[in-house]
Amino acid sequence: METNHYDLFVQRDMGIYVHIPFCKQKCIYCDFPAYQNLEEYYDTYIYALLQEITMFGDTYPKARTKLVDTVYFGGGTPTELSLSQIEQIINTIQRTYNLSNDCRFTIESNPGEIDISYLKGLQKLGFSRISFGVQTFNDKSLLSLHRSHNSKAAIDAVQWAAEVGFTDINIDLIYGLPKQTIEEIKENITLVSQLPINHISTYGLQVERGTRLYHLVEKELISLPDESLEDRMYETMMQGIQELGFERYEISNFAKNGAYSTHNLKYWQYSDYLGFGAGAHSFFEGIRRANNRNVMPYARKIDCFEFPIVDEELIDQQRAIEDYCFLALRTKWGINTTVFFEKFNVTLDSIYGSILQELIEKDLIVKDGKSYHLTSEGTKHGNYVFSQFIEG
Amino acid sequence: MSTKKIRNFCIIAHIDHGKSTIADRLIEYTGTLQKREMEAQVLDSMDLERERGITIKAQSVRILYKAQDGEEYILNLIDTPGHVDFSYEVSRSLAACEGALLVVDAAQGVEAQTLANVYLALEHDLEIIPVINKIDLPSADPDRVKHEIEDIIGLDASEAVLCSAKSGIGIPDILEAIVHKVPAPADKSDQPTRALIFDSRFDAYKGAIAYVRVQEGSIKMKDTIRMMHDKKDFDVTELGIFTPNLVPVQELPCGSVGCIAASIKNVADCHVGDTVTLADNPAPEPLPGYRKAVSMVYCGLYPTESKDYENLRDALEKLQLNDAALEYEAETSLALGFGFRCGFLGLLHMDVIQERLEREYNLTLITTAPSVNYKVYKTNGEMLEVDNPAKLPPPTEIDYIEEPYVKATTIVPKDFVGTIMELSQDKRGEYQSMEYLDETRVSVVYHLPLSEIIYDYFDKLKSATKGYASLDYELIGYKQSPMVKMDILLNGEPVDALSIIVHKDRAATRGRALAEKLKELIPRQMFEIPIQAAVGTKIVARETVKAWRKDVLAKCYGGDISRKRKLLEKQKAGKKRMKAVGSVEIPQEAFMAILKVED
Repeated sequence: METNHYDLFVQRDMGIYVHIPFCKQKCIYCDFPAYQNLEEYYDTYIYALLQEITMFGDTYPKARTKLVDTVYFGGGTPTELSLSQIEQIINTIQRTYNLSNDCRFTIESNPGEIDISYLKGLQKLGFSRISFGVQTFNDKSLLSLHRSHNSKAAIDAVQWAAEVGFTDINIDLIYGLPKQTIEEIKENITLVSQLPINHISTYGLQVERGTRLYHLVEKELISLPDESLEDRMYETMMQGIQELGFERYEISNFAKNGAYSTHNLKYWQYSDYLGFGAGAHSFFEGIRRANNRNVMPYARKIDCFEFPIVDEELIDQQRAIEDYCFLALRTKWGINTTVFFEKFNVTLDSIYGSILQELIEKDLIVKDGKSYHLTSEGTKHGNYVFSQFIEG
Repeated sequence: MSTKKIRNFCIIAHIDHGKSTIADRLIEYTGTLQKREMEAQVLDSMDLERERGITIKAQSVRILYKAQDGEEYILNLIDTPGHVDFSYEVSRSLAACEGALLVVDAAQGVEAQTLANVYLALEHDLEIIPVINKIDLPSADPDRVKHEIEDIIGLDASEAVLCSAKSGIGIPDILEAIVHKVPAPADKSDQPTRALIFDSRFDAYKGAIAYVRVQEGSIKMKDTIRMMHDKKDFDVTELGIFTPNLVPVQELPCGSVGCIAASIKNVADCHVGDTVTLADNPAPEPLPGYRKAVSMVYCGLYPTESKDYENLRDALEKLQLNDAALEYEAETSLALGFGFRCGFLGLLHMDVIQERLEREYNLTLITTAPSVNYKVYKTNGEMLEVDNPAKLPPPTEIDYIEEPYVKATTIVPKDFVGTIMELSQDKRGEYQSMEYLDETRVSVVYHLPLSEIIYDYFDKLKSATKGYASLDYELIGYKQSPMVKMDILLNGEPVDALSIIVHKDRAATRGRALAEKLKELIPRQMFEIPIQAAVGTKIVARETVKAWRKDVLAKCYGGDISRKRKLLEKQKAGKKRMKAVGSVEIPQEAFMAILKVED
């Protein structure tokens, strides 16, 4: 039977992600596409980026008609660009795609690298949500991560953003840093309580291959908190944030008063999103695409009017079901059996009945009405739970 | 047709002394195959064989050779396996020959394995032609090797052929030596037919195919053959010779080597070692000289997925056709479910079978720790043979236990004699004798428990002597030993498939080592898992696998779902080779952990 397999997923409006792979200084743990000292290539990159944005719309006319309700500038550090460069990008997006009236614009930034007038400018360009890579408010820890800011800069940045009218402010926090203490986590939480933010992303420090941190850990030049300390940091962080009235709506995301990151939710809720820029990812009409991570090869491809795609996967029904389950489980809403049936035209039980039962017995998931979601134990071991849904 | 122009021969050699390369050169030189058709080492046809550089199955090839006397001869080369585990396969191949090339490395000299095979060949009255290979190596010393052959084996080496198979030196000399020295098969074409099955294979279309050497009489198309051992008759559908590709022929005359297809559907009806005769004029007696393979090592083979049980049984059945030395019977384990107890010639044989099952039949298996066969004398006078530790009766019912002993002959450079003695002593060995083979090399004989040999003796020997030692062993009988069963408890539950039988003085050390190793191998799970080693009710070692740690909180960058998924797939793949025993997931390697512990 010939079906439009992607019809299954056309549920919500579309998101657009723009990747700016430049940083003043690369953090030692970072394995994202982010490069320092490339200032002379900014113009070339933006030229390519604009080209990619229009080229995609020309090639897939359907993408031009779909309603877009989130635009997200991530990095790297998008605020490395000048306001006029950002404006050019926004204009091109607006010309090419069908943005809704209430379309929400988010931008990531680093404290210490922006001032109040720049923030004002962003606000004027239409950004209402800003996300700061704070990581911690401890100056020693910040220095050891090669972050360019200190805690005062972080506090200033958040307060300025609120002053100029950003309605939604997120900060990223990391626990499990070298030499970090439980005390430091508690201090971070106290500071958070005094700041006008309504969203927190928090995650444990990961040592990824190919990073400077990996090298330092391998050579034993840096040591990370042991497992039991890291566990306590996790508990302290999770408990502390929730006690401040933040709701854990995704494994590592917390929001106050329902101020969810609607763009990021698209990843977990199986909506379409277009990704532009080096290393950006798209999911459009049942196809996942990944762009080349490197700036020059990315730009060169586009210069030849070719998409800089390095990976392209067609998501079939089986794969879609698996992806849907493990992504949905990351959120507090979990897998809703009715929504599942509507999307896939089979019951969740007929596919995963015994697996769900087993996970319930192991106290990793619970059934709550029509939904399955992770227990707190399941949240800690999400990867194990998710992997059960994958054929592999 | 006369047998005068036929020569049946094999090649015996130590591993790496160049047997397969010589075979290749003979085939190439005589134009049996064009050079472009030659894959390196034609005769090792299984992937596994080529990868490991060993011959597992006997192979044969017919070479046409126009000798210097102007006559054309049919040379049937029967390739033989070259590892200590496969001496039974060697014996079958030897019985199909009149002569043997004894290949000795010009630098390494005579090794223990060479000796063992030479003695086997002499038992079969084969004419032995010494061939000294690799004479172009800088370290080659053919004169010394000649002396060794004369002194150690007692063969006249004055006419030994000097060659280098790699560079093609001496290949014509080998062919001439075969023609002139190997006797032609006796012409017994007028006698009732008797043909030896020296190997067999299963073909999906033709059924079981018997590889035979016709000793007496002949076999023609449309004959009805009879398997003398099984007393079953079959109509011949195809006769063939190997060039080395199979070429159909109308007749396998007396003295020849070839194969028979006869719609033999049941694999068990084509036993290697059986004698083929004709139904209408049967020979009175089967051929002598074959001995049944003796299993030395036993282990349990279980499918990781219980649904694969039937597939495993079918696969074993098929492998058994090709491998007369493989024994198996169904067994059940509380921990692992339904599986098979299998008997092997040795550890390599076990390894090879496991790998073939996984590769050729696409099965994922769990192999339990290898064991030997113990004789357990019970207090009620009964004697039980036990090759599975789980089957050992409770200590109160046991009067005493006997374990198999081997005579192990090791040949080493003299500097390592101390090392060998220390190692053998440590492995409960009893010194028998020592003999200087020449100024530098010594043959040391020990009586050792077979269980120690299969445990890690061979590996230890190789590493302690930097690979210079060579080992051969033969079963000499049973001896009383204070053996006990050691159980392994995971999460408080004994796991029968992890039990081992061990000498009581070693139980504590081995228990500790095993528990430590299991701690390394068993991945962390939702809860803490105590690992205990126990002899009876006494706990001799304890370790703990900590509960797993958090594994989920990584940031998902910019919608990169594929990367997340790949991570999960990897995690899942790791789980595939695990077996859930009660609530504990145990990886495949854990069941073999005992082989990996250091004493």
